[in-house]
Amino acid sequence: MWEQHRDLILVTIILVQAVLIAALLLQALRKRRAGETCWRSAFDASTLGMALVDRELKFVAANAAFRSMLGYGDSELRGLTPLDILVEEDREASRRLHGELAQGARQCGDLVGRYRRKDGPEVWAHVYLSAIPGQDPRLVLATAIDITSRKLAEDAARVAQSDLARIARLITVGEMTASIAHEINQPLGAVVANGNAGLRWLARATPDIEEARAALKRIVNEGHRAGQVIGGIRSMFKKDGGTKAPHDVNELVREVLALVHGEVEKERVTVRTELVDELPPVLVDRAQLRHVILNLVSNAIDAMNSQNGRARVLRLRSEHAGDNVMVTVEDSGSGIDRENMNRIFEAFFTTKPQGMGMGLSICRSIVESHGGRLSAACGHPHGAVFQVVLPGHQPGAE
Amino acid sequence: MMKDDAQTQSIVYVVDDDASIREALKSLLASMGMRVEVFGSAAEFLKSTLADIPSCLVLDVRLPGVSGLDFQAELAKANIQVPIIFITGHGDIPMTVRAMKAGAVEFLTKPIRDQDLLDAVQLALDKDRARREAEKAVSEVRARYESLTPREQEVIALVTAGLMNKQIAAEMDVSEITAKVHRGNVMRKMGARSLAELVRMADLLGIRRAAP
Repeated sequence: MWEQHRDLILVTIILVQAVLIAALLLQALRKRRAGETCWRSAFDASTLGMALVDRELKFVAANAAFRSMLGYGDSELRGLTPLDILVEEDREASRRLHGELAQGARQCGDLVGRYRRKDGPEVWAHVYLSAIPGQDPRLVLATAIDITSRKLAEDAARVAQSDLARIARLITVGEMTASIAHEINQPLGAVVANGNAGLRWLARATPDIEEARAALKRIVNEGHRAGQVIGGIRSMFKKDGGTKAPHDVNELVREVLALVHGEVEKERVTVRTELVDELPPVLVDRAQLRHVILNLVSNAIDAMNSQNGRARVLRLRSEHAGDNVMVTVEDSGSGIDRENMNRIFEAFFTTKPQGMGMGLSICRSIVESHGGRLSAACGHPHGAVFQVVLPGHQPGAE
Repeated sequence: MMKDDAQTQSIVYVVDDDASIREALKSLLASMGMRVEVFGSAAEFLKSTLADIPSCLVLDVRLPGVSGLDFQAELAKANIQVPIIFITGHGDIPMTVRAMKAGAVEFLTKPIRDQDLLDAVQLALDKDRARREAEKAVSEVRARYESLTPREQEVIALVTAGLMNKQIAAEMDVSEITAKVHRGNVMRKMGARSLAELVRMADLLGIRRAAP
């Protein structure tokens, strides 16, 4: 409750306080009555940072909370404007808001920005600005809350989340190590055999240059092939998502099937593919989408590995869905319990003994970051069906 | 340098689904002076007509469709007795044990050391050559045995069981002279120079009776 409405409650408190104090202040200023000092004390005693800014954006007054937030003394602030102490990137938003207030286009507004303290460090502040009515020259009351610690916590959470995503990716990749080792070993094996062949052709009584040359050519090709395999792995391990480009989903599906080939064979799973040709390409980060499909396929295989007596069938379909492209991964496994259906995409929710519960939640966020949808349903008569829907890419549509 | 004759008189088959591995092995074995034939799948290999000369098979354990081990069993069932050298990407111990138990000559891990491959191929070809020679010897002996008269065939069984001429005569209800003549014919027709040699032949044919 508090978490959800915190900002709203804070804003209300601040605005009420601000308007109250401003009205009282102004009254005091205007009438220059003996009670002025009383309102001045109220202003100074507020735990919220407060400052008055004139038409030229110069600070007219700042309370103790405001000064200590920014580390400036009263007289030092008087020569400055908010723009002077904001970090470069945040100045424009502030200038615009002040401009609108000055023109009377609006009476109040707020902004979040970074201020540079006098002693160096940056302070994140949420600043509420309100024009004080009936004043000439116009004055604007700025009320500031230090949100630095919240911002830092958010940043940390974001980093942690992307780390988790990467860990989950690494885990899946770890499971695929055997397949990848095979992928690397093939070209490596060919390089060694060709190298030996080349040496032997040259070591003959009459060296066979042509055969040796052919062997060398094959070595070069195999080197490139190994490089491509490495490149593929690196893109899976990469910390930042790569760039999006148009890709054929069928190609990605086939790539994934090649990766899980060993697993499919070991688990005696029958793979059925129905891939529609001539699908529009999808604009995706190749490694990320491959990760999604790989995850769904691995889950499907896992779901079937404890089952005896029933055929283990993994179905992969690709098809049009309006302007979208739909990829369906279906298994004949144990299926998803009704009560779990809504929870499977939640982070840390898992039904696997060794699961982290990150796979599907990451998959969903990847698909959604590509403007698509990932959904699950029960299979008929058993098993589970996962559908990835991605917008088809029209060249030149951006 | 090489035993050219023996090597062109033999053939190495390579079955691997990976075209570049296939080509590399073909070149490597050819550079060793071997006659090589390559196949992309187990099915392709089974369809081809195999030359009736000493041969061996270099096979990837991870073949698509049937695994290398299943293929090994299939060959055994079809009575194709070609020695197999397995190639594997990573040393899978249970798989190795299974393959060796089923009669694989060698299990090589990729990347293959060429000397290991050469040794394994030589070993496999020697094995196949020896098997073929043994088979040939048996069929020669059998042909000679079949050229014997029924009486002589009876005699060979009795002689190699350790019976004396007199005992043979009594067993067959003929004179000792007649038994002796049969015995002489058997030795001559079978090309045996001694009783010991005749016993070996009888063993080979599985016709030796237990001593009475």
